[in-house]
Amino acid sequence: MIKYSEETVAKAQYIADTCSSCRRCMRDCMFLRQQKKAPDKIFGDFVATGEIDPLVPYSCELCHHCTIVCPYKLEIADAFLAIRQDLIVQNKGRLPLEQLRGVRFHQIFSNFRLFTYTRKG
Amino acid sequence: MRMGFMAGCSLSAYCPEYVGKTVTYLKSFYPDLSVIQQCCGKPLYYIGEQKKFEKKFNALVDTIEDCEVDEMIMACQGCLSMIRKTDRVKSVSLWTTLDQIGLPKEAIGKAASSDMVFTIQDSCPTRHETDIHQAVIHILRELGYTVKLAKLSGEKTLCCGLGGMCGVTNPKLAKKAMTHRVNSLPTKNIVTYCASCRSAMMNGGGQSWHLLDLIWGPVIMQGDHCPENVLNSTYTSWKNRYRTKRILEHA
Repeated sequence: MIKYSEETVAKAQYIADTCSSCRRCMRDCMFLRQQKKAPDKIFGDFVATGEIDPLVPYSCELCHHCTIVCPYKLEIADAFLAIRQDLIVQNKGRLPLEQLRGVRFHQIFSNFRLFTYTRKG
Repeated sequence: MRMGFMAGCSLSAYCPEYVGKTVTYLKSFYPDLSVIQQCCGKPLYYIGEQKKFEKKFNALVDTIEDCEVDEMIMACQGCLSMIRKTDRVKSVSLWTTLDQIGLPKEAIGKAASSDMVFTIQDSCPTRHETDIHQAVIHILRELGYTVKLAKLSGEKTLCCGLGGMCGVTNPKLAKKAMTHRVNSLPTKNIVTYCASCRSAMMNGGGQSWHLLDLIWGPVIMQGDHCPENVLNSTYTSWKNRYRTKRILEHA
């Protein structure tokens, strides 16, 4: 089982305790709509069980629209990013989702001299 | 002031020629412009690979410092949002820069007789940077186009669907978000200033132009089709990134 950091759990707990379940954030976010529960429940369940399907934090677009419309400006994206960071560290180099291999490959490729350029003015 | 410029990965993968033209234009204002093409590492940051991200990001910052640049002009909002995380580099958006120095003479008013009405898809990493949103609106009006803004734009913009690596981790959901975003806009003729957003707006059912398409490319009229969605092809994207490098070598 993944052991999440204290900071991550604290972020989740804060959202679970503060979100009023007004669902403004769910109006235009396809990701939150798909969860079919407001952030208080998403993060409340996470804190209570210590578990979350990796596809959930990895489906947030990290765009912060939810924070803009939230009456308490809750940083939901930051909490999902913290969960992602813990998943990477705790998995000891193994990626939590198979699809992420493509990102690693893309990032290795990006370093090739074929695609980089520097000219000092 | 010694300026630097970075186009970013997606824009280089989209349109090498316009990156070249932009560099040539900027050089006429900043003759000692440094040009850097190196990934900022945001995809690693997004997927939670914090250590690898820091290594990659610091390598970019080292390159910028080696070039002794006072301020970096960034064409990509993703790169810009990352570079703003460090105090080691001062940065500015390409769009506020272009608005400030002015468009090329031949571009000003070129679309005055166009019947096109564009809306704007603002990039989510710079949702708090109102000066960028204003600059983009101003540039479009300077070109001669009519702009109809979306309710959810500027600070309240919605993600195009590709944010947070969602396009990789959950493509079905990303497609839904793209379609939702296009449907939330007042017209399907959408201007972006992010190459990835442009690709997403097309995948969501819109016609979409990058701001550089409108500055350097032909005047667009109602009913015109936008350039093809090159970012949907992995091969073309990487080929273009190589072509960008070659163009920059000769710019």
